[in-house]
Amino acid sequence: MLLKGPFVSAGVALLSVVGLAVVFVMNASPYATVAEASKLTSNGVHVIGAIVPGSIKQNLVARSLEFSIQDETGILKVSYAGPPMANLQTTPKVVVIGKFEDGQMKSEKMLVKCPSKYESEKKGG
Amino acid sequence: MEHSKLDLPITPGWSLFLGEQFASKLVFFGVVCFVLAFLQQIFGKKLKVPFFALGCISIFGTFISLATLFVTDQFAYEYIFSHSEKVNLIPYKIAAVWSGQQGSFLLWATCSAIFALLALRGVGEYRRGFIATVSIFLAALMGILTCESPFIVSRFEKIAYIPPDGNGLAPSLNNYWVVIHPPTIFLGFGSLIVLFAFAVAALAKKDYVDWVPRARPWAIISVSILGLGLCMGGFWAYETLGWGGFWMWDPVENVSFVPWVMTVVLVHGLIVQVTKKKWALTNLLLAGLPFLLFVYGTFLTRAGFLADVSVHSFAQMEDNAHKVLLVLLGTSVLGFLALWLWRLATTKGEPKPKPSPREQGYSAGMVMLSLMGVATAIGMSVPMIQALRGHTVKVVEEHLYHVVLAWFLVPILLLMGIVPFLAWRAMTFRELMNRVVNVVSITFGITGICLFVFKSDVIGVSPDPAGKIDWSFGQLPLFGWMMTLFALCMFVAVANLWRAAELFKRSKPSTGAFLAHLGVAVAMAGLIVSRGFERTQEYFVQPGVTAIGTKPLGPKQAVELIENQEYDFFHRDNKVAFKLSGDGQSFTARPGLYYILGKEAPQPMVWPSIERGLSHDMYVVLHPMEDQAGDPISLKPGETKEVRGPVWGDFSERVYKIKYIETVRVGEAGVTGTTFAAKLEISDADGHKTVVNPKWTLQGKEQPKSDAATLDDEFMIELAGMDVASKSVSLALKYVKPVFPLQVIYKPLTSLVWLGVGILFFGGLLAAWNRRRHPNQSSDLQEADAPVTDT
Repeated sequence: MLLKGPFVSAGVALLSVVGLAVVFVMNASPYATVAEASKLTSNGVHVIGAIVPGSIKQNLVARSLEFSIQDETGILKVSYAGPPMANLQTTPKVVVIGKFEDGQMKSEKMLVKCPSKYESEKKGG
Repeated sequence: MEHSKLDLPITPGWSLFLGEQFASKLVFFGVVCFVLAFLQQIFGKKLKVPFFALGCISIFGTFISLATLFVTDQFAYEYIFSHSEKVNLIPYKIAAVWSGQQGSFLLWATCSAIFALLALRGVGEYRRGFIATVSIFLAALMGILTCESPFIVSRFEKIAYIPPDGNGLAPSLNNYWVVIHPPTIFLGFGSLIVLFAFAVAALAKKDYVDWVPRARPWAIISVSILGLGLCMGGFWAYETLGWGGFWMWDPVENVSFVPWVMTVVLVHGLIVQVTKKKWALTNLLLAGLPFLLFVYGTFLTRAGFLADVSVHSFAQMEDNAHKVLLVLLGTSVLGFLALWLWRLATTKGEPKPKPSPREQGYSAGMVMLSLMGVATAIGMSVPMIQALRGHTVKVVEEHLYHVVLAWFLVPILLLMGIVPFLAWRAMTFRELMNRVVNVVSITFGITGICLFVFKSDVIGVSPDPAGKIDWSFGQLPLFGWMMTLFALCMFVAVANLWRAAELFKRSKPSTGAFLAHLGVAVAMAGLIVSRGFERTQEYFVQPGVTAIGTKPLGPKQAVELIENQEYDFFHRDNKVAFKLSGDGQSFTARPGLYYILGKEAPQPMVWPSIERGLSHDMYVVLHPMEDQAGDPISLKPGETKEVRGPVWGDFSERVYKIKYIETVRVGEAGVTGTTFAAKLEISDADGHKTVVNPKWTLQGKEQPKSDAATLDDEFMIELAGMDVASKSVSLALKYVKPVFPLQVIYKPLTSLVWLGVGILFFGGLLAAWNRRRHPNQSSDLQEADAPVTDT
């Protein structure tokens, strides 16, 4: 009698945790390395990388932003057509979200990595 | 290889003593003190030395030492070199203390020690368990600092030179929020150990009742401070470009959000325990969870699972430090849960009376809130779940959080409005309806008026009629969904204001809880409207030309660059002033734009300018100036191509046909002063032909000097490149006057977010103060307060 309540609660709690985990895992967006991204055809692929220095070709007037990102597996050309991005040059890494097409990543959404307070990586020197 | 002696000052002796000798040992001394304090409590030894207090003093000493080294620019210390620089003002130098990993652990320890000492006076019979728990936790934190010390000096040939300057804070952290947000949120995190220690002590002592009045004010304080810290983080993100507005469900945000939600659940559970003497064991679990979830979150963010999937960057922890954290997590979670389950299995249940409507309301709300917290915790663990399963890393995006959490948010809002009207005794549905009917009517009234205002052409928010938002099953119309959420928030606000007004005459401090609810509702309404109805307009402003936006839904402003400004594009406070007028408002925006000297080219850094107003905020972002009118074209001799340049003054377009004739060289190749001119024949739209010669002049080792040829008042043509092999040239159409690309974002009712947070914090503090004055008062609504005859 005593344990009936807790057992029912525990069962319900476990079920909801598992259910939520399944929902999240099924619908989450994949992260890929540069090498993997070129093999994926789905939308919403996330690729994280550092912008190749000097590769940014941004022309706000012509609405074009092209650059390359790199990780340990290679270099990826990105053509970005979303809202204007600022502070790209000063950001350590970007997350490019989009689809791989015609040899490049076509993206309309991008995240700029925050150089967080937890980062102790040395910049520059 | 021989090194010459460096021409740099040498770190003074006091500095080396303070950091390398004194503070490093102090950290170790702290670990020893806390371990002794733990043993002292466990074995009940009555040693005269208060090791716990000594341990806390060593934490404060470490913090002060590190801050002193930061303030005095002791760059020989690697940690200080990486996070500070001379130009920083003192508050920023102190903020740099916690801008790295070691410092944030030290801040956590400091805040935890502060709260533990503050709470110690009121722990009474729970003293042993309380001190033992806090001691072992602080020993672990200081242990992490002994493995990963901020006091490591870098030496060159055994001499600790002071480098000329440090690396400084990352440019985007150079903001006043870095000074106030981290200490606030860490005070919140620090306060969680108090609740956890109370729970452990109560479980150990098998006294599940007396801890409640003692811990309750601390629980409310945790909720308030953590909530304030979360909101500050949101404001910081709002003011920083590219951080996704107030909230974007980033792992770092979630790591703070989850403990906060669980503390909110605890505060409500305690109300029921005080009033009905129920839920004693549930509340003990709830008191432990926020702390455990925060330690879990800390582990998650630093274990490397999120390193590649978060917008935040995380440094890997030093191996041993990471192991200490893992052991802390493992022992605290397993130990606590085991103790709790054991007590649960061995505690005799008493026959419980049927729960009252109010209790049922609380339990429904608590379940929903817990689910929201659990869902968020699971969402942020997805990268780890995937890694453990050996599958591709995946991440839960913001919109998925919205889709899932909406299922909990809607019931939570409904309950926040209804539960305050439920009685602690039996009550019929009709009675409830009689109490709520006024609130519902007022809510409909307010929402109706707002609907009218939002839709108005003159003062409205011009919602996008075709806007859609993702839902679990397909999509919902954006406006309808936003209005539903807004109406729910209004319902909560009106209901709690109503209850606060009813209670105001009898006991003003008791209104704190209702005010806190009101604050949540107002802030939520602000978040929903400001995000849901935000509209963006882009302008291309040229000196002397008034720019007008083209998007029909965007804010309609006329934008002018204010002339005769003085710029210093290499100063971090550089601003460019624009006058914006339209929509019955006129203001000067000063968005920030400056350049940081990078390794290759200067790197632009942008800060938005926010014109705050009661009805809306105007968020103005200046992007780096542009002079190119399009991508360069490549031409072979004799070839003709067309280029088009947009004219921003009147939104027309000029078309030029460019025929490349030949390149004329004057002077010897490779010699300074030699020019290369591209001879071009340009025909404009009317067929007028002119010949122009954009040219390059060689400048020795430097880049050739480029002279563009002016075509008319708007455009010029520049030689962008030459290819000797194919004899082709690359040409770029450029503006005579530079273009300032400006983004203006209209965010309605953002002021509500500030207002709501203010009310929330005030209400929270009022409630905490009230609980401290009347720790055993049954609840914010006393039995007598339950309506009996107001039907």
